[in-house]
Amino acid sequence: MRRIRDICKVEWKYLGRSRMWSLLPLLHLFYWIWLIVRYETDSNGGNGMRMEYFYGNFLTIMPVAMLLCGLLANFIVQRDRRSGMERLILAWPVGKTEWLAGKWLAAQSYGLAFTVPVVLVQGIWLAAFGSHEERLLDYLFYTVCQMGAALCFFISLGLLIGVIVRNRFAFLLLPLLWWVLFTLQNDAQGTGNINVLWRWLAPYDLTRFRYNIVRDSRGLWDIPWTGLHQGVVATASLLIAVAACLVSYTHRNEKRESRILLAICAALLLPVLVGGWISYSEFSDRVDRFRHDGAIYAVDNRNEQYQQGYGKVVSDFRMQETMLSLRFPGENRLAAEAELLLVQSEKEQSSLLELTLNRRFQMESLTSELPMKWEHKGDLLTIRLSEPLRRNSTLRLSLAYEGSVDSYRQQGLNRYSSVTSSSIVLPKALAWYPQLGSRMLAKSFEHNGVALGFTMADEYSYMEPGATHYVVKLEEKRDGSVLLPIPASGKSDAVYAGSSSSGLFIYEGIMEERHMGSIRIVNHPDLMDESVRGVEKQLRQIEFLNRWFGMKLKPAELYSGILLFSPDAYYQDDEYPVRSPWHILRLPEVKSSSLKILLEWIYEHQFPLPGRAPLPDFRSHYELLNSSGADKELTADQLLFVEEVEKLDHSDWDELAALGGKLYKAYIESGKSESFDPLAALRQLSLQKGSDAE
Amino acid sequence: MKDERIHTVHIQDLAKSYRRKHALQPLQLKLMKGVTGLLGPNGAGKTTFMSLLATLVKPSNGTAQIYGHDLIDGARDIRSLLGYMPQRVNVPGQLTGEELLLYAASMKGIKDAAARKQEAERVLNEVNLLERSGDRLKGYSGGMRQRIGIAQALIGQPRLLLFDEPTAGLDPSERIRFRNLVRGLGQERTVLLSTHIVSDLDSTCEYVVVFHKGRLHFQGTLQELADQAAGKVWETIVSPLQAEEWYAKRLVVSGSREGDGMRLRLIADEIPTAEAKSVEPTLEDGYVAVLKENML
Repeated sequence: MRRIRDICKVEWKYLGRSRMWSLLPLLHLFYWIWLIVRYETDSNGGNGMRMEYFYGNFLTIMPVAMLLCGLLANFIVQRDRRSGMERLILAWPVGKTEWLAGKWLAAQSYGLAFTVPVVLVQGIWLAAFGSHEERLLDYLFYTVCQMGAALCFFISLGLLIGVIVRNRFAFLLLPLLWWVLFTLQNDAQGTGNINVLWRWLAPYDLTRFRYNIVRDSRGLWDIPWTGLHQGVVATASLLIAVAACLVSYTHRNEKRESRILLAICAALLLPVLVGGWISYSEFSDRVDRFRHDGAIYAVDNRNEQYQQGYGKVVSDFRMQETMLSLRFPGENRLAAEAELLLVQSEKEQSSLLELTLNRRFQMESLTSELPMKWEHKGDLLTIRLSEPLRRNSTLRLSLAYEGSVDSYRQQGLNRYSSVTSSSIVLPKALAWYPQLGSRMLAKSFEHNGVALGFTMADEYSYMEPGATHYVVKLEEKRDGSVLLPIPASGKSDAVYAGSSSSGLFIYEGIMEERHMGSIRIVNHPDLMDESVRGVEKQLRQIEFLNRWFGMKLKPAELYSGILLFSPDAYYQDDEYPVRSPWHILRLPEVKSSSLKILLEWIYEHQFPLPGRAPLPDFRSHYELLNSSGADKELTADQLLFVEEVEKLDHSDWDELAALGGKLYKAYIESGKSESFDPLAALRQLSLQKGSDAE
Repeated sequence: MKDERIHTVHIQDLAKSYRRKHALQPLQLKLMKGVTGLLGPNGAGKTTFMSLLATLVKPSNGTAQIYGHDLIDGARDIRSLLGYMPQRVNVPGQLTGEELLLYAASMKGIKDAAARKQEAERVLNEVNLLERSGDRLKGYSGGMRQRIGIAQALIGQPRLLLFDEPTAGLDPSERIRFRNLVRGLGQERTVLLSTHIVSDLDSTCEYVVVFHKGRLHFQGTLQELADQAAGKVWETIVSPLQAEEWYAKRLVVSGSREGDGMRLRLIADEIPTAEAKSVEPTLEDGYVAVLKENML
């Protein structure tokens, strides 16, 4: 041990006194400091959550550090060989294992010079800004796991290559392996991410690393599984290092030393294989679930592939009330009791009621005051009343069901819905509660550009046919904050009640809530200031649009970046009580392209688009957005319109906006006719303005 | 070699081949305490022989006993009594001379830090580098680096010292100092000194071994080596034109300008010219005589 320590010390001296090698960890540290300063000084807040920003950069920097550390391990073996010191040292009475172990430890400590500062910087940064503090230790553990094991692995690999390859090709081989690693990781189809062999060989837990690492309800997820994977990687690193000792300087092999090394190899191989298999199986199950869902929700019609956003519910009934009592009996399990009050409002009489409830729930009971038969097949819960129900008659249903709720997207790499002890992600589109009509809960399309040959739409949901009064009771006290599109009732923190025309979702995670008048703003604390700015901007937009076009838009009741279903993010009408604060309100659709472009030009001057300064002259704007020809040359009619606009006084934007508003109203008065002539309308308004002025 | 003292190194049929190339033909050799010179031109197999004794490579055939330890089974024991200075070592410039020697001392099993420091200072003093011990090795001249290489070999009072071309790069005064050092070391230890500079051996060695093309060509005392040329060394003065011809065709050991002609010293079985005079052979003459079949 003394010799190993002394070899290690000498290697430290080498490293400490080498400008290049000692500078690299410092540059790495300074780079992180610069990144953090950049984040904190970015007044636009466009970098997202701190952790998202952190791990986004981590993904880039860590592999570079990994390669550098591997090259160093390679170098410290090759250096002695090239200088002749190897001959000198091997003539000293030091065992080859001691010698390589000393070098390996020195290289590992060099790896720590990259890992420890990152962890410290991360910890200090988050602690100083009070961000993610509930999970700070988890994140630090995750960073240590990922980077520590990855660097450890590459250092061992570098050492092994340095020992085996005795020429300069050794310095090329490691970058080559590294390059292959990244080619696999970043291949367009993502095959590497879900490939069995690659999963075993990946030096860091890639599949949870790349996708949605922070946007999940509690940030990084399944950290224990990452710990297992990285534990396997670290053990494999030891195995490689021991193998390097075994295959090095074979003429110096002593029987006892060889036997010990072989025994260690065998002892390390077992946990590597077992741990690797467990880690792989967990992932494999996830991919299988995704594959299974993909098969269920396959869509053949190519037109449907492009129908993103929301679908329409077809039903003779309307849901008046939904009362839900929820329990979470285990990881990714939900048990619910539901009381539904429905009204048959669409036909004179109807006996068929279709509801959608995820197929993974087992129906324990379904009762009603009216005689009926029911069947839960697939996601469709079909109820046939013995007697048809007349218009405006009500129907009460009581349901009890239980099942698993985890589902995945992005080739199984991204968690779409889940329940854990500290988080809930239950989007409406999962149909975790009975929803009106027959709905397709997801859509999967053939896609030859991805590894599994199909992809699933992330954001798909249905527009509710009307508002429903919801009462949701969580029977178990949750530790974290819970968000639903309806507010908590005053009686209890665990009961939520209110009306919603967009359905329900439940989200539990780290979040902060602020109020702006009657508006609730809920988001991750890191994003709250940005959210507030976004809401303020939307309120200004609403006020402007109402004034400009005489619209009657109202702000949403809840603004949140955590929207677990899509229509609210896109839909413009103000019937929806929830809205993403970052979504910029669009102008109403106008069929006439000239009018549309004019309105957009005026609107952009009021609310500039991010990263694009509004163009000062209308002609340039028109040419930029004109899609009539590749050369963007305007037609004669368009030119006439542009010239008419250019005659207006461009110094008074209020005047221009007022004119635009009048044009829009004229368009509305024309019945949104396609034959509406914006040029004629503009000329008429100009003449009218001239005569008014006289 | 006269067998009057205890042999410390017994070599039996030791040979080394690299694939089809025989770097060292099987050889029998016994070494004893004292300084033994290892002479031979470049590529003679001297470094291979040294590497075998230093346990750096495994012999293809044969064996050796060094201080009673088998070359293969007792390699670790041999290393613990070995001081080896390889032919070309680019000592690490980032370390100081003292740090390198402390490193060597640690690797050679000196556990106590104070003892390591004392030992490092001792050998630094031996090679006249004590004053520069704190300087980084990258600031050392070629000769100083050579001396630090010698110093590391002396760490731990090894019983077998192997110096491979130790005087290359040393200035004349350092070379004299080194010879004196080696002579002293030879009192108690077995020293094998590889060189192709014959004058290095004159004042240091008692015995000499000559290798050529992987074969052992001679072993004996210095006088015995010189005697290999007895009666075959001639001196004569010839014209420069004829000297050019003789350099090409005869074994000319040395030559110097004298008047309009050239005084040549050459080895030949027969008197080369009627004017030639027979002279006493030197060590270099003996060395050339041993190798003469391969030199023409």
